[in-house]
Amino acid sequence: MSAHAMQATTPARTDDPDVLVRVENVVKYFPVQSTSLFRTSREKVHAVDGVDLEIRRGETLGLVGETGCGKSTLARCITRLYDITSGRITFNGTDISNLSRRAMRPYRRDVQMIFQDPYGSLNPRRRVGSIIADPLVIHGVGDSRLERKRIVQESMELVGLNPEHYNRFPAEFSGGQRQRIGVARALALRPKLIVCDEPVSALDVSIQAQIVNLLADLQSELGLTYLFIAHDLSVVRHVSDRVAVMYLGKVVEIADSGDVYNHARHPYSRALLSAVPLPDPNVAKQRERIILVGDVPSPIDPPVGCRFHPRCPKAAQRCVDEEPPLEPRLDDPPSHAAACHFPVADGEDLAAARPTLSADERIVAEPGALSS
Amino acid sequence: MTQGVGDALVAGRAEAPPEFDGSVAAASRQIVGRSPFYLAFSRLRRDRAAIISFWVIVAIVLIAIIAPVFATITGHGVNHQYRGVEALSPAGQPHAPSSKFWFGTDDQGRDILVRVAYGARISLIIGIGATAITIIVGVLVGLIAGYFGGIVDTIIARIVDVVLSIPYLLFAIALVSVLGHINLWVVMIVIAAFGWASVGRIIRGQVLSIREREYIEAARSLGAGDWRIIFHDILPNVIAPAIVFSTLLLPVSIVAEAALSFLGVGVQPPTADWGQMISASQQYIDSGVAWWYLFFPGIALVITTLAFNILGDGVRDAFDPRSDRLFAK
Repeated sequence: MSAHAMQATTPARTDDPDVLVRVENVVKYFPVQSTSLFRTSREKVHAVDGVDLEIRRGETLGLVGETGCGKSTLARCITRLYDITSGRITFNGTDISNLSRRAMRPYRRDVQMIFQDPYGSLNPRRRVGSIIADPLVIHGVGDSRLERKRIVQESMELVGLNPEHYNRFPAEFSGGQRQRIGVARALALRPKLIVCDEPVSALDVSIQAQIVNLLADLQSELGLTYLFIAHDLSVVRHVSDRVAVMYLGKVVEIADSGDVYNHARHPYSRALLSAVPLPDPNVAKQRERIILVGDVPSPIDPPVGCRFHPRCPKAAQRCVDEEPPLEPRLDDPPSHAAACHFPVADGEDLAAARPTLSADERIVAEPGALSS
Repeated sequence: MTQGVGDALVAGRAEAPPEFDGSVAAASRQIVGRSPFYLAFSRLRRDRAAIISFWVIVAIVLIAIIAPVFATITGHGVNHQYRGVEALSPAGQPHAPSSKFWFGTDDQGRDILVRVAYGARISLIIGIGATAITIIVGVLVGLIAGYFGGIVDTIIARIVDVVLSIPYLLFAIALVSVLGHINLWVVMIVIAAFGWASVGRIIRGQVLSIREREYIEAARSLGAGDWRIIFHDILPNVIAPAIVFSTLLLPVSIVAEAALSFLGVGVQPPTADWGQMISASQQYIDSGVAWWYLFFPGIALVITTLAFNILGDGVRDAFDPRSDRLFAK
């Protein structure tokens, strides 16, 4: 299996005390059943297809990529809301990839999640106090109702909510306040890692800043580690120490935040960055804009070789034949890895690049080649 | 801030909740926690037909409770068979309403007024009891089928299909005759045995959509177990449809009880019961001699079911603000 070959490229340093979460070659497939008139074919959505990541203590790792690239699936694998198909996830030195529900309980205390939709992630029929007290009740923290109420009100205060609003329903709060409730719930158990699944993308821009700053304050106050998922690159840039870019279930580039934004090596990262809106229209006009051709291929039959090759302005025959490993390119530091055979040099005009591979040669995948 | 939202939802203002009187600065702009049930109740309060029905139901419940008072005032025992021209005609026929027997007498010379009052007890006890059993069983089944899905859901769905396809009255008659001894519990369980399936089906549908909500995922990520999710996160969201369904189910249960008694497979004589009285009155209606014998238990049954039905409609409208009636007014 190619899984083992991949693992060999990343030295397994499970004992590194700086690493809180290690994701090794994690794969998550979702079965899809399509029934045509005569046959039933079982195919798989390759939502996350061999991802290696490290999340270090106290850092914020940004995870970006367009809709459907597997960011949220990866987040749900790390929080074990989904069982992974293969691979390994270690948290704090413990392999948690196959833990039973019961064995997961202590881990659930340490890993909390903030959800995208502040309307959908709070039960509309329950009072805010009871929602925030949920993690306490589930994990048996706090001996009495009164004690839990105190912890809940502390959490509410910590996230900038009026603790007096303990008895209200979620519908009585604005979107930003609701997201604060979600943050308070995630904080109630004082976790080590908070997975933020697009925590601000459903909010107004002005409210986004409030929540982002709140998360940053809480991080320095409580020593939290974040996995911060977003498709808004400017938000990710603001909060992240390191950034990973995902495309079709794979990490295509990972580096310190500044390196990704200033020296992106992967053509996809470059294209993604060129789409960030700039506040100054004059600057925006002058900027190179890379317009990708075509749509994201179906994750049911992902392209062979480099997954980005059907849309890549630099695609060559090698991109079809050989899947590029995620490793440092050009003269990048070891912390900056990109999965591209033809990394983009600083200052290179990607908009002018022409692929050496014609459209016919770009193989999306032979039917059934990867799905079985 | 959120005050505007709250006010837009409810016209009337509410008292501050007792837990927090906001002794701090918050007192200046006190926002009141309004539960969905409070909102529904305040909508219901503006529905005149529902409120009238509610008071009618209160009156019927009172009559049922104070039924012995009727016996005391009239001096007629509920099962006492009176003889003589005041109670029975010389031919042994029921006597028309008179100053002694306000609602007339039945074929046994018993006071219909007292019997109608006592009959309200049976109707309400069985109606409420059967509805409660139906809703509890139906909600539990719906929660389990909808939440666990898969094979559990398939098995429950088949059982529901079977139950719904059984002709209810025929089966009830057969069951009751097999059981022989009939008491209130048997009647309630027989009625509930056919009602839970449709409740279960509706609740299951609700659970299917609630199960996919993000807050369920949130609960799971916190480490909540299946039963905690079912009872703490899903159940509160199906209570409203369950309440609506039970108010609509109550009159159905009352009519079902009357129907069973009418057929002689409900509560057994000499217990006073509306269905039984209607049944017994039949032979006097054809000949046109004793209209009161049918009329009084019949009108009691109609008023009771009508009141419950109108209240049920009102409750449904109150819980579903999008329903048309609210805007039509």
